Amino acid sequence: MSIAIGPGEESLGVDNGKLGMWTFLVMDAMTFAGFLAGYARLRWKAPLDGMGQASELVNTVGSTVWPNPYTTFGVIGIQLTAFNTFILICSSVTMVHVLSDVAAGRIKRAEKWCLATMIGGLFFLGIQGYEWTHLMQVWGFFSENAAALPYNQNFVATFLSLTGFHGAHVAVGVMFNTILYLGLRNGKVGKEQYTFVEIAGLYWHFVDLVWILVFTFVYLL
Amino acid sequence: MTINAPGYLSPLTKEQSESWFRYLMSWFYSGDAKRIGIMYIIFSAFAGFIGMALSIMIRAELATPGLDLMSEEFYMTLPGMHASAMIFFFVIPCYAGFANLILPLQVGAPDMAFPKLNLTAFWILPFAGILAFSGYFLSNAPQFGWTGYPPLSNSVYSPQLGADLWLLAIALVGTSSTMGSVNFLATAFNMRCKGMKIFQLPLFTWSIIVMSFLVLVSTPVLTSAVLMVSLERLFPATFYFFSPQGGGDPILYQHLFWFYSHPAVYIMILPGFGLVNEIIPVFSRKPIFGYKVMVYSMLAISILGFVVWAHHMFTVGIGLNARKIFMFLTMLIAIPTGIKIFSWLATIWGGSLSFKTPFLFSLGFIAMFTIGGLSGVVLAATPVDIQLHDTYYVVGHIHYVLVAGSVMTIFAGVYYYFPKAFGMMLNERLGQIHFWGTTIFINVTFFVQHYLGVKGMPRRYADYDPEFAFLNAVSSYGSFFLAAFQIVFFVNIFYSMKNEKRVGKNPWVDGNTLEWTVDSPPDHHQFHEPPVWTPIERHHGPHSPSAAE
Amino acid sequence: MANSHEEEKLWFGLLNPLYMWIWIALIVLTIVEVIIPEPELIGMEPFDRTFTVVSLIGLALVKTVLVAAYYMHLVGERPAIIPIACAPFLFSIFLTVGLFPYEDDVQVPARYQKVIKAPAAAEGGDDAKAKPTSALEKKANPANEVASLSQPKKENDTK
Repeated sequence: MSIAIGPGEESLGVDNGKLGMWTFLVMDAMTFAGFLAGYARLRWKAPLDGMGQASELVNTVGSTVWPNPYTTFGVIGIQLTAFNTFILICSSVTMVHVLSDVAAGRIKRAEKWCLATMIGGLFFLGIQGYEWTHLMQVWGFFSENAAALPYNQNFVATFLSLTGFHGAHVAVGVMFNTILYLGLRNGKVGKEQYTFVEIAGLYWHFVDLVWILVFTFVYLL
Repeated sequence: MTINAPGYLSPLTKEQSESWFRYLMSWFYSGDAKRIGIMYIIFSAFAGFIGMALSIMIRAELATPGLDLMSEEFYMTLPGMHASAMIFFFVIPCYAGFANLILPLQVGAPDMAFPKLNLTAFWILPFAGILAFSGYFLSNAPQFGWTGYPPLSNSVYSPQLGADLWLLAIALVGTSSTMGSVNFLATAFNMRCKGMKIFQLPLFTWSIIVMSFLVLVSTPVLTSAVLMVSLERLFPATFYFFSPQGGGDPILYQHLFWFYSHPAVYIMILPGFGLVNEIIPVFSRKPIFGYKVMVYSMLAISILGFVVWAHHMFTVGIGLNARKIFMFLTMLIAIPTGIKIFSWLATIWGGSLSFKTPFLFSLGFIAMFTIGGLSGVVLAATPVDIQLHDTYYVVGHIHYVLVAGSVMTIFAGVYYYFPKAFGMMLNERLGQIHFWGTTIFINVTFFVQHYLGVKGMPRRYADYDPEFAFLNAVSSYGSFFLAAFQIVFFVNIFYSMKNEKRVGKNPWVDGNTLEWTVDSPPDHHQFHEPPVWTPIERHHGPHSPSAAE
Repeated sequence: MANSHEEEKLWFGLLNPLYMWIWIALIVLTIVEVIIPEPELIGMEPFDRTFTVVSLIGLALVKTVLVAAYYMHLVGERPAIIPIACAPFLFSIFLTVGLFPYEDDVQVPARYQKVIKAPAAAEGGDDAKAKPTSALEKKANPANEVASLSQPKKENDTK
């Protein structure tokens, strides 16, 4: 009774799972696009702090200046987050090595690369958690006096939602990689299942790709 | 006791054939796309019943001026919950059901690409439905309509728990329909049988591809907007996206919302177009006119559908030049839609017509959907829209598009595919009664609403000027009869199930897509041997008699 | 399918040295990105705001393309996947351009101004949320909306 479900006679020439992951990534990218476009609109209306020419533009009701990441965050901001970006890029390159090693049949090496990827993801999450707790303590995010922050309220909302949503994706990616790692260890994922590795890789690189955009728009601009 | 059923309805094991409970469980855990499709359609029928009951309450309240049946607070919940029941739990799942039932058959696949994902996508829906409607049982249902515009929908103005649950349910529905879309795209692109090239795909499959693409790109934006509103509601002192007192921007929500909800209109009508595309050639006994143009016009509708959303927001104060551009693009959509209408007419023209119920519903759809489309062009004009915004004209327009469009095509599809799904015909006479009752009372109910809107009756209010009393009474009694005629449909289903009229592989005789080459109902994995599609040469020359087969 | 698998495996092997080059490129670009908004770090004068915004977005896009093309293997992917992968970029541009807060730049002819002004004054702050910052932003950005439509990414530069 059971019929293997795979590509039919006429297909796009890729695996079903890979096509499914790509279409899922379209959807996920659009979720981020919603958050980022909202950020763009809110940001556009708010004047920027510390850039001289814009600080006199305190315009709309309740719309105060947008914090400048350098002066506001101090050491917690760009330098730490740039390091975080570096870690995520490194974990991305380890992930492609997992794939090329699995495709070449070097499972032991792939296992080590996979472990490195997982650790990179966890490290990223740890730094982000440190940053969040720091901001909560210093600025009182989520507290009663959050409304009294000296900066634009939209910043708090967009910052937390964008980095939080991305962090959730990293967490899911770490889980995905854990499953992959256990599969490699138990011999469930071998040379023949390299599409599974590729799909996990697609998701992980997508998370990295989104972080490049989030990092640029939220921290650097 | 044994359960006997043909095809995929049959129990898979001996235990299942002996116990109804096990048989039902085998449905609930089934990865078979056809069973999941049937479950989708049954669920959407329940949701449609709830939505219809809510709409009857609205029309009953509006039948006479004054508040006579319910409180204003209760009335305020009705339009939004009616809309969410109909949109999120009736029309979209119903088309997903049709797609599950038909799409794998049409492309010649044994099943969907991801059966478990498919089942998950279905089972999210009932729970989302319970969440969305639990507001009526817990504290209070949301009163902000289906659009949920902040700041009205934030925690200050809508403190109800039901509103939080409703927002969560919307996010879940979005998740479910994106899961379904991933599945449809993977199946239609990757699991085609031999000879089924991309421009040989039947038009229903094409419409599901386009719909899935719309769902994939637009629904997540709604999810992000809903998440933002939820964050704003749950952490009111920290998150200010939309509420002006924190420097937020209420217009931003409207942009994000309509970036989903305008394509959602096409999500709700394109599969209907697909069903009509299947039905009209079969009952005209002619190949579809302009196959490729039909495909391209669907693609054009889907692309244009993403750049017109601000025509819902002409009155919120966006710049005039932006409004002009959106007005122009909106009017542009009438062109591909018109191409489709004229292609259907050209298919019917000169055909040897057989006026069976599915065909009647398709004809009614073409006639009335054209009215809905034309009133849409009227609304697209910025100055006219400023006058008609939030009046009953808009209500009339959307119901001509969704009731006369989506619901009529759903009925056409049910009458057309019922023999394939269950192996028995629906009664033709009852079907015709159902058709004429539905068509006449759709017009009675909704046509007068255009006039009411032009005269200035606003929507979403429990009371109105007594000047509008007569036409509102017409609309209300029309809606009662419209609901009453749906009983004929259910009677028809039970009557036909009782007097089984078994059918063969091709009950409509002229069906020529792959689903008509398998048994009715199809077997568990539909094709006993890998199907082969003989490519159709599509041309515009005179048709030979054999081409009609 | 077996054939195409073999092909792809070969192809991964060929790409292997490229992975490290891409990695180095990404890291260099990240360092450049961090320096651009704060050039004081290496003792340079601060850049113009417009240059900062444009170059940062450009660099981010370059990095995005590098990751998508080489790490997600779009360079050697079947052609059908590439439009799927590019679709969200197109539609997020639609979204961002569309929800941009365009201002009403209607020039009311002088003979109508009296007629229009009277009710506007009566309404007062009612529609303050609908027309944010119109006067200020018009000063900053006199270009009309059609021009800003074609250059969506410049949204932050006039601040």
